Amino acid sequence: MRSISLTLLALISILALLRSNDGEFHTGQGDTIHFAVPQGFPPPVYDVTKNEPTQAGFELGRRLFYDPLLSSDYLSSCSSCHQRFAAFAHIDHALSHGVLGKIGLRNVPALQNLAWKDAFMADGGIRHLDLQPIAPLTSPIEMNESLASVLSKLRRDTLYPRLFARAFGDSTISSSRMLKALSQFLLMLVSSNSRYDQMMRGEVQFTEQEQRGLQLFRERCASCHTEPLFSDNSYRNIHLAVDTALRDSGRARITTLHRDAYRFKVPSLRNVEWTYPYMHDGRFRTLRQVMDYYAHLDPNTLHDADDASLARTAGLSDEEEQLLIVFLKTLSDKQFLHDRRFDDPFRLR
Amino acid sequence: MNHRKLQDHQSLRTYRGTHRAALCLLAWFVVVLTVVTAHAQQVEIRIRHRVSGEDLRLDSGVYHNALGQHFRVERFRYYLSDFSWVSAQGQSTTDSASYLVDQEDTASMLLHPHLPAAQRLSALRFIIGVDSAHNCAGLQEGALDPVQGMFWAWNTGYIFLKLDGRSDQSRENGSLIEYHIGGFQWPNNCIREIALPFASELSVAQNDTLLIDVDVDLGALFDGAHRIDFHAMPSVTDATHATLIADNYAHMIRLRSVRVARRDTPHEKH
Repeated sequence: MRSISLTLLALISILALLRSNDGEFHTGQGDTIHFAVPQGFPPPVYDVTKNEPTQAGFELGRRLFYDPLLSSDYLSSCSSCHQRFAAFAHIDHALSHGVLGKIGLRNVPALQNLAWKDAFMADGGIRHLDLQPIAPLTSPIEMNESLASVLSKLRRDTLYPRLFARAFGDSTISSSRMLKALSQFLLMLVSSNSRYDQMMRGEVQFTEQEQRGLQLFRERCASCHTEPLFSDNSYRNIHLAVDTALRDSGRARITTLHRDAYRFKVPSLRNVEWTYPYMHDGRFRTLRQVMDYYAHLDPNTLHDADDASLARTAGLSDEEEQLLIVFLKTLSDKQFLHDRRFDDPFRLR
Repeated sequence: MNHRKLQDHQSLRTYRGTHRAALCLLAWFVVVLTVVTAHAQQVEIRIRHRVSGEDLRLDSGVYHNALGQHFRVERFRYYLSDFSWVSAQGQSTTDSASYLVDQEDTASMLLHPHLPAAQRLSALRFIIGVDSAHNCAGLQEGALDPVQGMFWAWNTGYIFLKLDGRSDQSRENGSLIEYHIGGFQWPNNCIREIALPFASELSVAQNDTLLIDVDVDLGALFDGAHRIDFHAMPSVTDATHATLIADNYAHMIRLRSVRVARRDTPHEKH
């Protein structure tokens, strides 16, 4: 009798494991969630010990990220603008889109290696990853919700209380739990296996063109786009003509300081091949246009400290532009772009 | 969906939960014992919102600023934080918590900050606002939960004070006046330190309750260092003019009375 029940239990467990592959709770076999600092990366800014990603927390965060329940019209989710196959940027959309077809102020940034960022948004107005999702959630031109209303929708849902219980031990749904789960998902979006990374680890060798592109990049671009994250997290004014319709003063919106006018956070260049269009307002469609912009800057019009770095890019030849683009494409991380763990759980069901 | 697996998880959780509950209970006893034996003295700060010499009435009360412009108040809430006590031994920050005071929530107008072991007290100090550490600390719960609606999402930080109302002088839609004041960084720092000195030193023994009555004068928001004209400045909701209001609210709080309520019969029976 006992052996029969044991066999039954074993069978049920195997069935349970197989059924768990349906995407509702698990996308892979067993736990695949572990936050690790990739070789060569600096220590993260985010204190991961305070919110260590777990399988259940990650899956809850992923579901929230893909769930249009979080918007006022039940149509927009975080993933509406942050597309997995574009390193979570928005391909071919210059400015962010929101509920009722509203258009935002800025280009959607890629979401990757967020644990190493000290502030968020192109103006750095958001000082902690855990607080970041509140901005798009509550912006009237993005998801147009209030935190209180999102929480009450989640509490009324049939599934969320159970998912919160799995992630946090009991079914209490609070703003801090919701945001911590989102952070657990976002923290796992680590891109560190591009051809560049493989070359740095000695696993592959660059072609001659790639090597020359890297050399050129280090001379001309790396003072702001510093390796290995390809951003120094600073705010810079690269003298783009001010868009008079958007009137976006960038960092100055946060600090109110005149010297910060038109400064924007230096974006990472990882997966830049797939995050077009470019710049804070998406004004350039192709990497070639970006290179052309930098190449044709007039050194005589550049004066302040930021400009010393900027002046290095002036006068790039066509061949040099091409080499830089060849190098930038080595920053594409196919493993990251195709990672099934980051897939839409609603689509898999 | 996978009910079986979920049940397995839940039974494991229940088992763990029992252990956790036992530990929590133990921890609670330890805390209670510590409090009873070490810090039996208590504080009660009672806050009264006043304007033009009378108690604030939301919606119905009509008041006027120093320029004679009439206004009504529909919402009035603000943070008080970092309560500390000045004694002969010097000043100590004894409670880094933030309290959200809200005219709509009478319970929020009674504060019970921590009072250190018995000593002679000469003043109470605190800040209006939320200190920079708590503005930068990421997620928080309770009074500082962003769900309270006292949080700026696009330039993260707390709104220290919100006064929403109406004035015929306002040029805004619906004659609204809105003052949402916050900011903890130079040059828009709106944290203001408040010191309320006592007329004489007070000794607070174990089992005593220190009763402090405080008046908050809304009229002071619009007068004092800067006279606020509802026509010219019907709303301040970003950093641009916030410090003007902050300079004014630095003088909105007055100590009305302070006394020690002594309890003759101690808790312990021997």
